[in-house]
Amino acid sequence: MVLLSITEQMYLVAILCLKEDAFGVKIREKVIELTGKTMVFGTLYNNLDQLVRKGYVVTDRKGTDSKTGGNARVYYSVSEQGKKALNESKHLQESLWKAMPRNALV
Amino acid sequence: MFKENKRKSGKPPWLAKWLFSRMSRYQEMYSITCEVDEVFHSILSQKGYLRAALWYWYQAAVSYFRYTSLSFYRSTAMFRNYLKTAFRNIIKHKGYSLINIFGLAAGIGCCILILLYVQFEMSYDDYHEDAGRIFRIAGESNSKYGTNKLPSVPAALMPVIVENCPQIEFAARLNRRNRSLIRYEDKLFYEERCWFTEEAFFDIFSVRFLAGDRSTALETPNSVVISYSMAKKYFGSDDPVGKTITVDGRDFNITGVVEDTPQNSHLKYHFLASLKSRENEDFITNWQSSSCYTYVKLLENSDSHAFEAQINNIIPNYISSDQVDNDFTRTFFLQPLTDIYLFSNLFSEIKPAGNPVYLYIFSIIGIFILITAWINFVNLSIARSAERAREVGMRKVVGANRMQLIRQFLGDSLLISLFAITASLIIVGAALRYFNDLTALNLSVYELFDPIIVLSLLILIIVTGFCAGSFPALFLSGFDPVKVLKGNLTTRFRKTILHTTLIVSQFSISIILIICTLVVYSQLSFMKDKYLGFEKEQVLIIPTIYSEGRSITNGKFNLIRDEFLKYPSISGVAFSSNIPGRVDTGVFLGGAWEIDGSRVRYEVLFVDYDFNKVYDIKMAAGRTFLREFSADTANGVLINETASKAMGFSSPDEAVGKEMVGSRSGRIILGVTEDFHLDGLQTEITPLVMRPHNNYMGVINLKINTENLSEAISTIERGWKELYPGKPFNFFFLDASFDRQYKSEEKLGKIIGIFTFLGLFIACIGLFGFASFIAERRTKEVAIRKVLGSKVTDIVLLQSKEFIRWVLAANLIAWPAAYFSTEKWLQNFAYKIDIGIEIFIIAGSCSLLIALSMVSYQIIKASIKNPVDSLMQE
Repeated sequence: MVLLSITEQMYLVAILCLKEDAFGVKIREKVIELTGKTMVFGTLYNNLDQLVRKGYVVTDRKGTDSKTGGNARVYYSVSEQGKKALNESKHLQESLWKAMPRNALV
Repeated sequence: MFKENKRKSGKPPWLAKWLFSRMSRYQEMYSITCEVDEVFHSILSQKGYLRAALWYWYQAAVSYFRYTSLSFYRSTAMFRNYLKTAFRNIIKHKGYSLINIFGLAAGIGCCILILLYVQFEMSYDDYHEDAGRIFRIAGESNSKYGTNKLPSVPAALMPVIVENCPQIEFAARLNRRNRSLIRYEDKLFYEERCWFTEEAFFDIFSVRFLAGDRSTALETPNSVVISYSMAKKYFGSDDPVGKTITVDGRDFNITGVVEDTPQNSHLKYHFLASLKSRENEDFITNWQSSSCYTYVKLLENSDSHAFEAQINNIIPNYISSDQVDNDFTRTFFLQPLTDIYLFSNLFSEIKPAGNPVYLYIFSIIGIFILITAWINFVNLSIARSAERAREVGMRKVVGANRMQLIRQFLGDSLLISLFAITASLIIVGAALRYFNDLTALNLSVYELFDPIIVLSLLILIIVTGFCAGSFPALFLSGFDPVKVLKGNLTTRFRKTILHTTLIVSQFSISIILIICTLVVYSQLSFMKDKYLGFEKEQVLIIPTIYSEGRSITNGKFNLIRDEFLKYPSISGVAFSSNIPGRVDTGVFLGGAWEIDGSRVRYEVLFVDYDFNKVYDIKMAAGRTFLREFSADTANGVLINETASKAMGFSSPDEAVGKEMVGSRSGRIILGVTEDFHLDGLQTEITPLVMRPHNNYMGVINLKINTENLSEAISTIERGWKELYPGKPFNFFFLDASFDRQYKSEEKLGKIIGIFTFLGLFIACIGLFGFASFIAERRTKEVAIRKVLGSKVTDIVLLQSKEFIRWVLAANLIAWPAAYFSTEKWLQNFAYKIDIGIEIFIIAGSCSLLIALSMVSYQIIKASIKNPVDSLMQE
């Protein structure tokens, strides 16, 4: 069973949210939106790179865009492996919250 | 406005952009620059260039920082793992690690201390700017009787060579005035280190002026520059410049204050007065008197040999013929400034020479100790590393390749040796205070930051780490993991040889050191206890000064004697020109006779009637001076036995009544004294002539017959104040000053002793650790023997045999080496001990005892263990 850290989960969810539209700038905006905290591009790519190395995220260059000056932009998507890992983490979290007694956090 | 418009279609700051491109992986794979630029442009159009640029820079800087941090973390991952394992390993065997590290640390610490000392001694006088160009001119006089070298030359020499030798940049003379009476207002003291010199002195030597003007300080006669400590002593916090002090009754104006001379200077001064003050004195022009220490600073790239030759070509023309003795030639030679302290040992040096031989000895000791500690370290490390064979096996199974293993083990021992060296620096820092006390020096921790030392320490770390780690690294890593995990290692034989050699050499070194220490101490106590031919106990000396060529005691002899003999605690009063031990109080006089074509040197001691009585000097023949015979003072002399032999008399009795050889005034030998050691046991007894002389008997010798020395001192002081009310009362005890002669030998003895002890201690630690290791390995063997019925004592004996053999072998090696070197050292002494066999036996048994105690503790512990427990460990 693979344990994803919260950060990793966050990024995977962000990428999934963006569907077709998942590229650098947008992912950053999404994560900032989700967490409420801003980050520099360096951190963004640190985490993305980590996910790519582990095989949870795959990159893809497609299409030309006038905004990127003619170069193909890099798009990210979650791999099968990644989806599986995310699923496991989700189950783990859910069972954790379920196992907690009702009024513990009151 | 103008700028904004222009920038609206602007580009991101190129430098920041360059930072992004430096993150190569992100640039290649994710095109980071493009993405960031996009946001940049949107900010640009919304908020203007300034905001956009600031944002961009922020992104660049922080991102780059984060990127490099992550890269660093990733790339050091393996290294951090090794670090962790290394640490865990050390902690797991705290005992061994402690012994190992501490042993090595102590060894390195000792070595560093010794080397600091040696370096200090070798650094004398090299702090002067351009010290390589500074030389002292010394003189050599040759006659058919032999050669005499002096470090000082006639005062008239300097002006001559300055005029004729263009290579000289600066030249200055120094004339010594040893003890002077200094008075300022109500402060009255005798001060040492008073000199007369010239302005060029400050151009030759690097002297820092704290007050006053260095270019004019010694311009006028009767001006003086004082040292910082003197300024504090006499003037407190006031500015001394411009004030007047009295030196031996003459007024001098203070024109400057200089900082105190550093410790590593052969020339130390408290007062530098202008030589012009003595312009009219005889010695300034007299070629016969070698009154001045003369220093020159040559121009760059000058040939000192050529200069030396030039001096010798010029000077003979200037020595006027009536001042020259015809069969007497003088030559001059140059001494490089930095060589003076260690290598110049002429008569009447400014500061007694350091002894380069001792420096070698110390360095060798230091290196020996280092080798001992190092051997320990390597020995123990290698021994312990065999235990890690299983770890090696495991790692290999999990997939480590050979290179990684090698790196791991090497890193491990490098780490330990790094620890050890750090610990050694801490030890040195802590021990420095005691070391300074021992050597009477003032070394500071900062000397450690010398590049040479730092470099050698680094090299030491690397070499040690490599040597200690090489066995496991290269050897163990090559093993077949299956075999290793099963526990079949068959390298016993080779390793045992290694261990044996290491331990034996270590012990040999320690034994050599023990023997040397014992010899040094025997020689010292021999010198101290040997009867010197006179009684040095209970004698108090008052050295008085000479003023205008005569002592202040002149004419007052009876007065002084009566005053002191009033007190019951004083049983004898005598006057002389100098004292046994020849501390710098009096006048040294001597000469040479020509007897049967060879030159015989002799010394002259001026004494009064009571000298022999005070010192209980025995007569071999004839009589001593007697008051009844007034002719004694005019015509009589006493000589010692050596003198009578030198003069050719076949026995002392024969000499009595004869005329003294080479005597110009026909002096008759009244008596011959038994030889006594005027100089201590380092030199042979020279022929001695003794007679009275009113002008030169400035030293008052008082024999005290009470145990209460402090009471005696106060009564004597009272007497002194009656006789010389204005003069300060200086005194010392003869036996104390005599023993100071051996100070350098004592220092040597102490230092060798301490470091021998340390070396032995380190060897013990090593042996202790090693023995416990061996004992541990043999627990099974011991247990089986016990089960089969051996008694504990038998087992202990059996196991110890090996160690005993090693110690004996070490002794065999050490004895000849030690004998050879100590014999050589003893050649330095005219009167020395014979190195008896008992010293070797003591050293040998000492080493055996120590080794056995270290080892037996472990073995007994192992032997007592319940065999069931040991065998169950499988």
